[in-house]
Amino acid sequence: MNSPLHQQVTESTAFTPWLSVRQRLQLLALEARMDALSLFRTPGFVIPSLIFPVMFYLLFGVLFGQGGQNVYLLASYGCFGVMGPALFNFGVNVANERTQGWLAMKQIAPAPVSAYIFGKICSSLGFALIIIVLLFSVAAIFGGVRLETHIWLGLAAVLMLGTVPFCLFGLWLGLTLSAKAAPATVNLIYLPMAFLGGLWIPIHLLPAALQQFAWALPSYHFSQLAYQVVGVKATATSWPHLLAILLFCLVMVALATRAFRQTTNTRQ
Amino acid sequence: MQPYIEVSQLSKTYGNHLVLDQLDFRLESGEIVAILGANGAGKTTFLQTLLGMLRPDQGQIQLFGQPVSALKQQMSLRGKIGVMLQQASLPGNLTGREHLQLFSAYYPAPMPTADLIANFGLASFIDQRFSTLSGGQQQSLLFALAMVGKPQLLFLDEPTVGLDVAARQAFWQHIRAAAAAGISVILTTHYLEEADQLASRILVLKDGHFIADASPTALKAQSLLRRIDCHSSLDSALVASWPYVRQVEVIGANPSADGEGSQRLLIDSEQPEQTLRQLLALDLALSQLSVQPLSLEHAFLQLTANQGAMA
Repeated sequence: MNSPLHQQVTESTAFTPWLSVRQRLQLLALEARMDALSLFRTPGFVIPSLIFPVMFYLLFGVLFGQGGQNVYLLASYGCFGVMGPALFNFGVNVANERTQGWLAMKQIAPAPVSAYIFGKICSSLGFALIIIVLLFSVAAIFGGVRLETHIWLGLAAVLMLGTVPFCLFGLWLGLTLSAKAAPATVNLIYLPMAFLGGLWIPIHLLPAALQQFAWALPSYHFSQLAYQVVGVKATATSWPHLLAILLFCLVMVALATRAFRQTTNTRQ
Repeated sequence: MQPYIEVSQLSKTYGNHLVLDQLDFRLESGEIVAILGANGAGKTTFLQTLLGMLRPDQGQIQLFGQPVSALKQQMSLRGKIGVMLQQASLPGNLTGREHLQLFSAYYPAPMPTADLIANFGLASFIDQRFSTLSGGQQQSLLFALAMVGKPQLLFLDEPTVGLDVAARQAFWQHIRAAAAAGISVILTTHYLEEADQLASRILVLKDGHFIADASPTALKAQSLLRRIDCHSSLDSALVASWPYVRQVEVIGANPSADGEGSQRLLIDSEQPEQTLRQLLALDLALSQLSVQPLSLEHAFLQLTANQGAMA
């Protein structure tokens, strides 16, 4: 065991990286591309994810909206629109890929888990970008929304970055739930979380107790940050919301890491 | 030369069911080992424990001279093995070529995709989505994925379960080609024929133990045995002394109650036709006759008993 040869082997493998930097970058790009391809080839995911936020915006912002709501609703449905795909892409697909043994295959092959998660975050962000472009176009064309360029870009940036906590939330769910239970469970979390976070009905119209409860929801803090960028109905400062989201991310990373260890040690 | 796999005193329980009971096992370079056993015998548990996917209750596992826990950190150790997990499936929306591309990126010097397609007969379906492939095509693709990194050791967990005869034989060709290229293989199966066709060594797993560890040649000799089951008044010791008869078992011997003095005999014979001629000639009242191949389990129990006697 402690022969010089054995030590040599251990040392050389410890100091020689498995893949070159170039190969690692290629791997990251491929993981992202393949995950995006797989995602976009699932009509059952793409169609509702694209249609719902746009349809809600057209219904409540354009057709039945009272004046002055257009910008506010753009931020609301923007949050709602990017949250869902992040939760579903991670929650449902990780659960599926875990259950069908794909994750286990990658773990036995020399595939870094970080690359897998990176690929999924990229495809979720790519999808979020499409929703943002679609929703912004509808808002500008049909909702008559006019914003300064830096505000359009700022809102897009907040919406893009805001998908990350929901990716992490979805990752934890995907590592915990069975493939069968995942779609229903994610829906059961997504829709109430959107509603109670004030994404469908303005938060101040909800009962006081629910307004208090909203503080526990990442969707609430996310939407508050989006409102601040466009300058409507925001609470006074943004840092408590940023802090809350950061804390939420940390908790999710911890939960996902624990769930990951458990699945790799007790898999049947 | 260091063994590729070295296992000592490996035990694993589920609840209070002891699945693996203090197993010792070695696999040397160049061996093709089949772990044979009935469904639920613990073959998959054994393989997954070897791969560090399940934690054993006790025992040591070494792969290429390193503890199995090193698989977690050392990509180079993972790169030495190729694995086909039981009933693993890939995201159905990607094509075979896309899956190969992605898996190739995990290795510093993978086998070229074109070679994989040619070697494992993937050309006709490589650009179809995984979910549209037949069972045999899916298994071929999964085998190609296991081979992408030019492994030294292949783990195949029930690779042909659910395939029809033609697909199974086509799949055997892949395994033979890998073995011919110098790759060692450990595979689990519940098909005796599969183990016989492929393996240089067969281990039979039952009740947590390897009840046999033999070459297919020894196994084949054993599988020629036939079991003659009949009711006869002949003396079991006499029958046992006949040529070709390996063993005679008497069941429910109760001559007085039966009137005829008949008893149930289980006769294991290498030449059942010869033995039957003698039986029928000597006992005209012989009844309830049947002749069957020995069950795998019986063949192996005998095999181990014989080996014990020889040693």
